[in-house]
Amino acid sequence: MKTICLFHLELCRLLKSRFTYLIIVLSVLSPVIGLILYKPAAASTMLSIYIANPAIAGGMASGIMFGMLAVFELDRAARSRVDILIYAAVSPLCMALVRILTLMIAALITLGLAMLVWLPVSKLLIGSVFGFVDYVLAYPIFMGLAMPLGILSAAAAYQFTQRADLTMVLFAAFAALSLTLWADNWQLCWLNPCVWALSDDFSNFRIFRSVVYMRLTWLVALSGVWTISWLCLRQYGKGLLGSLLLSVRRIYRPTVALILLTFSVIAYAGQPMVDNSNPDETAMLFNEVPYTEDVVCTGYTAQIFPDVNAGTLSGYTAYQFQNGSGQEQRVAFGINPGYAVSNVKANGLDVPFLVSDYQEYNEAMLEITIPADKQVELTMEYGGFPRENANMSTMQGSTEISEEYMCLENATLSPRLMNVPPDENMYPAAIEITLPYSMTLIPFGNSDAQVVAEHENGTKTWRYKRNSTGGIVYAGNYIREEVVVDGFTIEFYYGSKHKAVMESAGAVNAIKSVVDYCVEHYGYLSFGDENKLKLIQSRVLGGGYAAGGASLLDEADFTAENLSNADKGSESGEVMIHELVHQWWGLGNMFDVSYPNSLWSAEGLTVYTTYRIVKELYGEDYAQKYYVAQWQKAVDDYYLDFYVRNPEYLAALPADKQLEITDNLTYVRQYCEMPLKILKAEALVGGEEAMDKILNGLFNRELDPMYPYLTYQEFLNACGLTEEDLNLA
Amino acid sequence: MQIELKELSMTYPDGKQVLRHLNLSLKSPSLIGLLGPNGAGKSTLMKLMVAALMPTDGLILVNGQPLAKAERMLKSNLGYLPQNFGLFDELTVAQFLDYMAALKGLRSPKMTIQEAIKAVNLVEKTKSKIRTLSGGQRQRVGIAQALLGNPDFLIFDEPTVGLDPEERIHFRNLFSRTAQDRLVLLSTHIIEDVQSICDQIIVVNHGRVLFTGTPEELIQTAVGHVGAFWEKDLIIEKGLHITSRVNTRHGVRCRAVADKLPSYVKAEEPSLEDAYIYLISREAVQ
Amino acid sequence: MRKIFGYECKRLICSKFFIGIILVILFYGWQVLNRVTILGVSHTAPFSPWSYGDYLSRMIPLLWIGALFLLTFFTSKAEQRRKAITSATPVKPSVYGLVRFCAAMTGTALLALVVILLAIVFYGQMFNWYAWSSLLLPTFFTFVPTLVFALGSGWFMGHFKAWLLFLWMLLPLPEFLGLLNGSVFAERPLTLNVLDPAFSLSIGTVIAQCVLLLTGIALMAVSAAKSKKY
Repeated sequence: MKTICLFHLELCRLLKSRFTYLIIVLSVLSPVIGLILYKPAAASTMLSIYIANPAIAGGMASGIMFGMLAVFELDRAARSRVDILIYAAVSPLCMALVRILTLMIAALITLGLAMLVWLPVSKLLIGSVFGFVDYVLAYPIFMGLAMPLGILSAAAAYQFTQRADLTMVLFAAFAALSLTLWADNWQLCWLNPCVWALSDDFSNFRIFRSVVYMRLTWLVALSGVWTISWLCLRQYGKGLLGSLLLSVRRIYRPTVALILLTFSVIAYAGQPMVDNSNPDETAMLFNEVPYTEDVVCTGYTAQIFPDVNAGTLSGYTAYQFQNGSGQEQRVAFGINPGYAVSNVKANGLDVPFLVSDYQEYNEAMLEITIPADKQVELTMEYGGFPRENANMSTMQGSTEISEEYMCLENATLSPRLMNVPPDENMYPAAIEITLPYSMTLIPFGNSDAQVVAEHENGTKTWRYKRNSTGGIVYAGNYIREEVVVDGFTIEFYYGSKHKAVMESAGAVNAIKSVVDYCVEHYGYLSFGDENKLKLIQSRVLGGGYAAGGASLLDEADFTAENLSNADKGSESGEVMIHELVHQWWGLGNMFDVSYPNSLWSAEGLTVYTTYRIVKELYGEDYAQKYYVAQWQKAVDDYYLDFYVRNPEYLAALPADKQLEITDNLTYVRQYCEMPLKILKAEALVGGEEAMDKILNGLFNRELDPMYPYLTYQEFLNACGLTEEDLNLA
Repeated sequence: MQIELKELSMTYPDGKQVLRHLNLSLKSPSLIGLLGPNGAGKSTLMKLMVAALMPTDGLILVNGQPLAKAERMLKSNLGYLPQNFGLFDELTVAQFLDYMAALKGLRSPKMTIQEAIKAVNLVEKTKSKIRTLSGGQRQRVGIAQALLGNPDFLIFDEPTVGLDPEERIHFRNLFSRTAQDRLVLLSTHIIEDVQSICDQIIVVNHGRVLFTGTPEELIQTAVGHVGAFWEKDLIIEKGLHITSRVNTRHGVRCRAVADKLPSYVKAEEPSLEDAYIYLISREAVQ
Repeated sequence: MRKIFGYECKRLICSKFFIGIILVILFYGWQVLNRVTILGVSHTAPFSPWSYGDYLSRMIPLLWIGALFLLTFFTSKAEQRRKAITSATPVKPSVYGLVRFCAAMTGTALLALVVILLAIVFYGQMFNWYAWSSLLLPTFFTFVPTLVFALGSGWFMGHFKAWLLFLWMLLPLPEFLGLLNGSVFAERPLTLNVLDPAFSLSIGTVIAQCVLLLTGIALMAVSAAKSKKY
């Protein structure tokens, strides 16, 4: 009762302080920093610009300011020498508890005020794609949770050191670490969460979950640290250790601290958001798994049940094998590392299985021993919260599973068979997915999905067929438009929230011009059904990809902000062109897997063609400025790089550093050096027309079924040039 | 050493006038007690004398020279213990005194440091960090730093605050010994201290000097104005300043001062405290 | 005054604060070296004067805060209480102030030394590189003007209001201000059109640093001369 009275008194006192007013007012205003100065969310979606950035910046500023307020308030008693009087009536431990609670309440009031103030502003700025749910979640998570973290860390530092100056330095360093060195580690950046984008058209629950997880982990950890610092509060004239020894006599106190710390360590180490994929993105150990002998896969089925509320998925899959070896065989699947596998049966009997600890490209390897029977039906259940690739941990949000949006890729959809060859029918598969009524299922590729059952619980089951071991499906509240260009049918899917923006921007016309160019210069696509292409607007992704019969377009390319910005260069709106061009240059059957040091990949010709289209659309100056000049600069930088010039120093570095540097260099070689070489080849063969003819010839060349890939040598031969001719130096 | 204050006035920037046209002359050897109620202007007067403040009007002469010119000379011969002061908690007693000796420009200060430590009974705490000392011990360190270098002019502002009776007597005697050949100004509320050691008294109130003279002269001013009575006999309290009230077996015995003693009050011999109260109360009436 | 200087240094250096900030510097510096400096700046080696300068400039905010906190030792409320005694001594306030300023400078220099030693250990451990003499110029160029300015301006401000020092600490923190973040080390080598250029400075930068240095010294001198007596 006394504590409650004290809490009330202390809260009144705190809220009467002018400094508290100042901190509250500045914190409420601080989201404006995210509109002007500090923009961690790089995506050009409206929610990224007008909700994520202001909320994160507000969190950063208010977290720091509330930390300072905590130091100021905790030091106040000592500063004004009133501590002797207070501690004669109340124990320092009780008072510290009351003070931290009042600071938390002040933070809560600040958050409420900030949300009230910024609601109309955000709504006005964002326009038709404003999402109330996103707003109501983003501010508490991005901004609100930063304040208790600031308070706890600063208060803990003060309670340990009992010095305002040292506390301020420790707190500044702790904040600086988050803002600089830890900024790219999604679990460590407590002040400025790794949120690179919020989707306008679809939901954002996955990234919210990730930030909440990070913030709660820190909250628990800092609560633990604060509790220990609380136990170190100086009492009875004792020093730090003496006071600690006195305080821990009530055993529940250190127990609480230890539980909190242990829990935070477990939460940190056992985070469920991202996997442990090999950071070496050139490693392909799963591709090297030896194929089984005398075993073929004759087909498979999968039934998938996403839980849109929990963001999880459960599924059941059945594979059919013909085992001609007369022996047990080990078959391998790639599976999302977040899933648990159970009930693995072969012909109805349990069989042993093992999920590897090693992970690569967002997959773990599931190894199952199948019996020596001639016909084997292997069934299994799997499910859980899908994890994302650790190497993309700063760009989380892609495995969104909600009532508004879903993207299930390969092993996240169903276990992907790795090491069993198919029979002559390849891998015929029937996939069924049960989704809420409002969602439309779009298989990425040539397949079409149909509704096969409607259920009373507001769901319906979609079914589609495919013929491969992997696959991607999208589902969401989509609008479908059909565009016909030169006998080429394009099914254009985009989010229903975006209808007005798409229409006003004339996105359909932009698509037409790209297809026009490619068909005119290179010809029709030689794959897919009846020259049909699906264009799917994805949730903000930071790029896109293309596969047989389908191409993905990032929603960020269509935001009102992006479409109205004429100054944007090759990194924004033209991603759409880039991804469309991949339909011509860059599908799986066009280029072999590229190696880390290799120049030649799907990207070279794609980037070059994108440049040509952009040149045609926006003029030579624009293309020169945003393409050629950019490539040249990146390539110059590459050749001048210290480690490129002195590889012996690179070799001496720790492995992770080597990898970081090598990855960056590979990107430059494929995306910048190769297009420049093609541009040089263009000049050497007699100009754009001559190059177009050569590329047309390469695109329509007769394929070698044993090695259908287009090689660098083929390109050089077609140009009549040698590698040396294209040296840029 | 001779200090003269001529028409000294002090008004703080916030407009509060603390001293008004003060005239005083202090000459060594002497131990002068400075008395006055809280807020009378005692500490301000001392700060002006140590050149920590600059008067808004009037003059301070040190050995006949204006303070502005004689400041360095004054400070070289000054020992000052302010009412509120801080010490370097991270240093030991000896280190702090060594530090202060250096600030005072004392050469080979070891001896004087030892003497000062001995004088304030802190020998066993010489190597203790100041932060470990009690309130009384810190006060003694303050006194010790004032004694460093045997200065000619010592100013002590409430020096015996926080000291136990035994220590207080010890310091009273120390001040008395020190004043044998020097000028010591002692500000205190403890009349007993003044009575037992001071040869001169200055009473200040509302920024003015109410009295200067010996303790005996001050006592004389109160003769016939101090008396005792039984509380049960009390008729009118107005004009009476009760200075003590003792519960006895026969009832409550009161002592009071008044400009004119009522008939039921029996006149008694005044003490220095009675005289001081009488002086202050008379000023209040006027 | 040597004795006073010694005691003031002892007060500053043998304090919890000083040990704390050294630990923070060691941790933060090691992170910078391992995450940023190791990559080298502007095509130069991680141990080039340019990369080293970049490292130093990234450490400046911490040293800036540290230097100003050292000054708060002399402007705190506790210090004001001590002034009651020290101001009654014959020592000139300007001289006394200067001695204390020198102590703060020594403390700051020691912090800077920790930063430098950390880099030296890192270069030795990671690259077996020990040609330290090439680091002298960037050290002087980066640290001396900035820290003299920090101390001079801090000392100047501390004379007016102690809390101004805390406000002044925030100056180098926001990266967007870029005033003291030493972008010169990342940009200058690229303008020289030579691979691994020898360390040199543009006239503009030299002038800017000299202005910073002289302003620091001037503020220091003004503060010393105007040391409050009353």
